[in-house]
This record gives sequence, structure tokens and C-alpha cells, in this order.
Amino acid sequence: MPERVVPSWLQLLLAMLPGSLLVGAVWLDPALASPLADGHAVARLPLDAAHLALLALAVTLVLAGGGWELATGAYAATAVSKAMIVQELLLLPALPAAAAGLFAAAVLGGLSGALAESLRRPAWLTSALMLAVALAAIAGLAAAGLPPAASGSAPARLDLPGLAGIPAAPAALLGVLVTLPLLLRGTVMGNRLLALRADPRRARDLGIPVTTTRISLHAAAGSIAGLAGLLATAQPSPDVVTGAVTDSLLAVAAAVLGGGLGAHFGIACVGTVVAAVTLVAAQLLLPPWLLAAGIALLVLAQLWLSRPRRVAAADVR
Amino acid sequence: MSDVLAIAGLAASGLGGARLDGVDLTLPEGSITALLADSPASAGLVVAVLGGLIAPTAGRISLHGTPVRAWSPRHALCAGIGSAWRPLGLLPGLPVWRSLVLGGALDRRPGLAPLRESVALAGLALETARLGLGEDELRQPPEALPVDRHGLLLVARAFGAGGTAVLLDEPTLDQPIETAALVLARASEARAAGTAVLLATTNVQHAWAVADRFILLYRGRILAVLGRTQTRREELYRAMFGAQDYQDLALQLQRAGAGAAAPTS
Repeated sequence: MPERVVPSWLQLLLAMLPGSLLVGAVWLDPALASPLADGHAVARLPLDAAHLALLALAVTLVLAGGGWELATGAYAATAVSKAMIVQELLLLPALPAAAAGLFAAAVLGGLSGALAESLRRPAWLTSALMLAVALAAIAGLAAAGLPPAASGSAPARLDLPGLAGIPAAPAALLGVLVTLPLLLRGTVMGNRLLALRADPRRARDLGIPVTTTRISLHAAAGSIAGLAGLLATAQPSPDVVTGAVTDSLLAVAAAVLGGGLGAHFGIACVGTVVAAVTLVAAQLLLPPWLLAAGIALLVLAQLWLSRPRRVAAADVR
Repeated sequence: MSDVLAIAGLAASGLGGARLDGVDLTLPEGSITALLADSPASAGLVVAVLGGLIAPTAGRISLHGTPVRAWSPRHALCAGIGSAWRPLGLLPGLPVWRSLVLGGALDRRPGLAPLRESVALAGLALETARLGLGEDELRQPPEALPVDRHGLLLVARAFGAGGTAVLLDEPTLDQPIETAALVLARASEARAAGTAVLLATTNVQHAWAVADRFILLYRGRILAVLGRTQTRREELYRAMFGAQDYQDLALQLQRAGAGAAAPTS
């Protein structure tokens, strides 16, 4: 029985707020809806949604194993580095590139987890350091003319095969959604994660290897983020650098608004909604900062609503 | 009988202001050692340090005669030492079987190894049944169980994990006499199997019923180590109920010229 955090009605309303506002705007001015007729944009939605939902699931794993400050910093570094590496690896044939990209993303995730574990205090310093590493990676790669998209030439396109008629992106998301709960409930590592999520101090006292578990979680999250990166490369866009950062933030938002560990389908749904809202906002030519600010407000509201309450110490002798 | 665990010159501080200062103690294999302290928190602190739950500020812990360098709950469990320290709680919101299984033998396999509920419950069935715990209790989260069952579940966990040594902190506190008897009988079984058992308790009767040795801990220091043939139950009662306190008090009163009480032994 994994811990399941079900969003309250207020949290669900908050999650639906951006979409509601956009629908309201279109209702007030039907002319705004004309860009939605763009078939290309609509076709992109499944891929974008799967990409964002996978990233959100990866974020959820990291969040479950550590603190907020720690997770966001570590994840930002992982996601950005992953996006860079996957882009570079597109210069290779598709299959080796995909395998190497996933492996590299897992290793990067594990390394960032190890760094985060060795710098556990203070958490804000760890976060700042991880973000600095991410920014340095972006700057370094940009200076070196990588990824190819940054220098103006389009990167190779990775054609991912579908599964039984289902396109690759939804199939990958479905696979993760089915596999993740099974791994959480039915494996040693999954049970350790549940214990860590329930009470890290008690988990340590019960003999669970907390540090190893956290590093493994980062590696697993890196793998899922790498899968999301592979999906993203099926539709390369010239703004891959900023896209990786924005996606990371959106993924954190979807993870929070979706309900956290145990609510995988909720996260996937909110990820889809956020991707759709982002797509529609882009079609409506809304300034990106407005969308980012709106989502940030929603995340803050959700964090405030789900803040831990004080409880009486009941386990003292 | 060789010593499974030994501590020398141990100093530590823990919950409730409990402290240990220069404690030397050994746990021989195939024996039950009762630790009787003036403060339950001090006795619990010995269990916590030996179980790797609290790091000592000074002193040395030896396992089978070899000093250990790193010592944590994980290290202790891997060495076959199970501990039931009362402040150690079960994992909140999760079925109890997870708290009993994690950290144990099933948890020492690779991360992706399967760990199914049915397998875990089957592995726990024998140990928990010995202490009168039902399978339905293992499926509940701790919040759904009475507090006295939490302590018993931790005792079951300690016996399950402790092939080498079992460290029990007040295992019979708040338990009905039938359950206390089951716990003490299980400790005797473990002794017969060659396990070293440390029984930290304030209940002299329970200690006297099963223990081979008695260690008296007074204000964080060892006052006496007595074999079963070297003492009587009444002497242990007197020690537990303040004989040393009274001696110290009488001495101080005499020094202050304010008391007529003569120290008694």
C-alpha cells in the first residue's frame, strides 16, 4: 500500500485554473482560437504531453527521496545535462544514440545524487551549487557550438518506432506508468523509497541504506528524464536549451500539482494538461513569463496547501 | 563462551538527558544479560549505542573481539544484531510488514530484486506467531494498532534479525503477563540457539526469571556485574529501588551535619 496523496478539490481547481482562463479568454474573443486550427500544433500535443509527464514522474521520484531544495537543484542539473547529451548523441545512429543517451542520463542522475548527498547541509547551498553546475554546462556547451541546433543547423531526427500501433511517446509514457507502481510495490528498492518517503530518520534507524537509496533514486530519475529527452529529440526544436530549463520547471509543477509519489496517473494527467496549456499559450502568443509566473504561483499555492502540520510527538518513551 | 559484543570506556548521551560514562560491558554468546539501571533511559541508551542507533562520544565497540570502525543500524543488522530500542518507531502510514522486513535479510539483495507482500509475510509468520502477533496486524499501518503492539512488533523484528545478538529495551513494558511470558520464553529460545541477549529492563522479576548475569547501571556508570549465583532477587530489588541513592544521600547528610541516618548496605 504505497502512500498516496490525493489532491483536494481546491488543489484540483488550482491545477485546472490555467486551462480555464484560456478557455474563458477564447469564449470572450473567438478570434483568439484561430491559431488552434494549426494541425501541426495539435499533432505535437501527445509527444509534448508524454515528454512532460515523464519528466514529472522523474521529478516525483527525486522529490520522494529528498527535500525540496535538494531535489529541484539536482534535477535541474540532470535534466539540462541530459538534454545536451542526447542532442549530441544524435550525431550517432539512432539505436546506439538512444542506448548511450539513456545510460548517460542515468549516470548523470546518479552523480548528481551523489553530489547532493555529500553536500546535504545546508540544502539551499546544495541547490545553488547544482543550479550553477547546470548553468555552467549550458554555457560551456553553447561556447563549444553544441548542441548543433544552437549553431543554426538542424540536428538529425530520431525516428522512434511505435508499439502495436501506438505512437512512441504515449507508448513510452504508458510503459513507465505501468512499470513504476509495480517497481515501487514489488522490489527492494521501491520499498526502500516508500520507507524513505514515510520517515527518513526512522528508515535509517531501521537499517535502510538511505544514502545508497537516494543516489539510486537520482539515477532512476535520470533514466526516466533521459527517456523524456529521447522523445523530445524526435521533434527537435531550435530552442532546445531554453526548452530543457522550461521543461524542468514545468515538470516540477506537474509533479507537485499531480499529487506526489503514488499518484502516477494524476501526475501524468496534470503533465498532459500543463503541456496542452503551454502549447495553447504559445499558439496565443502569450509571453512565456506570464505562463511561468502563473505556474509558479500555482506550485506555491499547492506547497502551501500541502505544508506539513505540526503533530504531537507520540513515539517518545 | 566467547564474547559476541563488547564495549569499553563507552561515553554517550541520549534522550531525556540520559548519559553513559566509562561503561565496560560484554555480551557472551548463548547467555541472557539483564541490564538493570536507575534510569530506563540510560539502559535504553546502551541498547541504542550497541545497535548503532546513537553514536558514542568515546569508547570502543568490539564485535567477536575485533574493534569496529563504522557502526550504524545497517552494520549491526548485517552482523546479525537485532535491536528493539523503544523510541525506534515503525514507519508511519505503511503496512507494518515493511518496517519488519526492510533492513533485514530480504533487504540485503539487489535493489531490483522482487519483494512481494506474500513472500514477506510468509517469512515473518513464524517469528511473529511466537510472540502472539497475527498476520492481520502486519498488514495494518502502525496508526491502526495499539501502542503496546508497536513495542512487541519491534521485539519480533529484533529476534528475526538477530542471529548473533538481540538487544531489547524494556521488551515487556506495558505488556500483559501472557505476552511478557512469550517474550521471555523467546529470549530463552534464542539463548539456547547460541544468541547473546541483552535485556534492559526495570522489571526485576522478569530479569530474574531468565537472566544469567545482571549488570547494575547507576548514574551512567556500571555499579556491579553479578552472576546468577552471586546475588539474590531481593538484593537486585534493593539496588533497583534506591539503595545506592540512599547511601549517597546519607553520606552527604552526614558531611553536612544535618542527618542522623546511618548508611545501610
